Amino acid sequence: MAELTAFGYQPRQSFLHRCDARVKIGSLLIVSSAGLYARGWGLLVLTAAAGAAFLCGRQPLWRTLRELRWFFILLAAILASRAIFTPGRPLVQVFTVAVSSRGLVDGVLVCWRLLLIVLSAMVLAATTRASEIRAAVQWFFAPVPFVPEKRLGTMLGLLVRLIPLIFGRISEVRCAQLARCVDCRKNPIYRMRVLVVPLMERLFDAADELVLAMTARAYHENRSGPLLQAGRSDWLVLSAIAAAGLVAVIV
Amino acid sequence: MIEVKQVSHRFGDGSTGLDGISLRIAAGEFVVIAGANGSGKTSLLRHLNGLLKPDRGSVWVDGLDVTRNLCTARQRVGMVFQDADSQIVGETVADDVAFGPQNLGLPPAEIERRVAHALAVVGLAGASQKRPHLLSGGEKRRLAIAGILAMQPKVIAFDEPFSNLDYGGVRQVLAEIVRLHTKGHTILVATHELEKVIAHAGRLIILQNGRLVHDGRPQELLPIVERYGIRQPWTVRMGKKVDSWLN
Repeated sequence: MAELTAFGYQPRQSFLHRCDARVKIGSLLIVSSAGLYARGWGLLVLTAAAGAAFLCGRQPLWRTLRELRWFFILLAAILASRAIFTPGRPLVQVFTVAVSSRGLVDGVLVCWRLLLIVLSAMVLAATTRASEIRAAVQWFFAPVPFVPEKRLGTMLGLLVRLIPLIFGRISEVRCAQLARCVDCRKNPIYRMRVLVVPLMERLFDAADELVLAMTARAYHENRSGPLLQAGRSDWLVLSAIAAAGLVAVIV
Repeated sequence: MIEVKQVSHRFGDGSTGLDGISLRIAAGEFVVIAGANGSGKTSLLRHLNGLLKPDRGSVWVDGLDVTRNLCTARQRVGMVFQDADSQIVGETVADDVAFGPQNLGLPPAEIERRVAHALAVVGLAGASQKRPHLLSGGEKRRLAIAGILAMQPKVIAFDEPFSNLDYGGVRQVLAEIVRLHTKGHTILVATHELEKVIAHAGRLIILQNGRLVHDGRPQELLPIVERYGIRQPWTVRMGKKVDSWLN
């Protein structure tokens, strides 16, 4: 589980750790939405903002990149499919497979946007406690009628809590099966089945245990949460990100 | 302080969890509840703070019916689970300890004070900003104890507190349990590993198939525990007095 720290909260002393959770979530929304419309220079502006946040949050760059290795493979697949299947003037042609310049540019832009969103979300997750995220989500949804904001916040908090548990259980089950030579079986469906069934059983057991432990500590929805306080520096950050988002969309 | 009156509980599959159990536990007692796997130790503990509800009978804590006063019962009877990992809900050590006080609706300053105090009591003050999953087994168990202490319970129930711990871990947890008892907490320990804790207990309760079969002083019951699938401490087998693991 220690290997998964880049995907969860990492306790550190940094400006971003002290920043109001609502501001951080708002900034993520701005960067993500602006990223969908931005191209070239606009994406560069947003990437610079995300990079600055990454540095401010004192995140370990190499470990983060290493833990994103499977995501990079997904991005490579997206880039390849865009480059090959988008019609346009062929840049390179090998037999019947042609890579179009338009497809290549589109693919790079899509991958860039996805990477930007994932990195920004990782910065948010690494610098914000689940309890703060829960409180911020409750704050955002409180004015919305017919939305049970406290239940929503609890669900989010539990999800964040369960992610490292799920990865830990996957690792345990996988190790136990490797120790009994599951890798000698070449059928991927068989390997998937023997991994998923015990994994789901263990996860449901773990979820039951977690619920019991929370109940034993008198859990209920109307509990006191962290105080959310946005100061001057928080507003400055939000303004800067909003300005960056606007510039990114315009250019 | 705790009164269990004719409590029976059946699980969903029809198997018996508890069968007509009655007992009284006074404030300040140190009670070990022993029995083989499936004897009902965990079920009994879970009835004390309303995690399980009796099919028949009732459980009373400080004169309050547990099923009608769940929140109060859970505040007064803290429970430390067997698997420390599964009861961690916070992302840092301090967050995890704060979980219970937050549920009690306490103001932030009081939560902070209780967290700092509970962590200092279990010797984890220096680890307050660590990720709980990176702690050692003994530290995780102490964190679970701190999480309960922050709710200021009168009774602390431990379910198999020594499972999966090495010798050092067992000694850490045992020292913590003994210290809490000397501070005035009522201690209940459910275990089949008598050897590790019985030297400190004033009372031994033996369960078998969900029924209470013996309730008395450890010295009187230790010679017969093996009839119920519980291993005797080696010192008793050698005809000596039980010895503390803290010595």
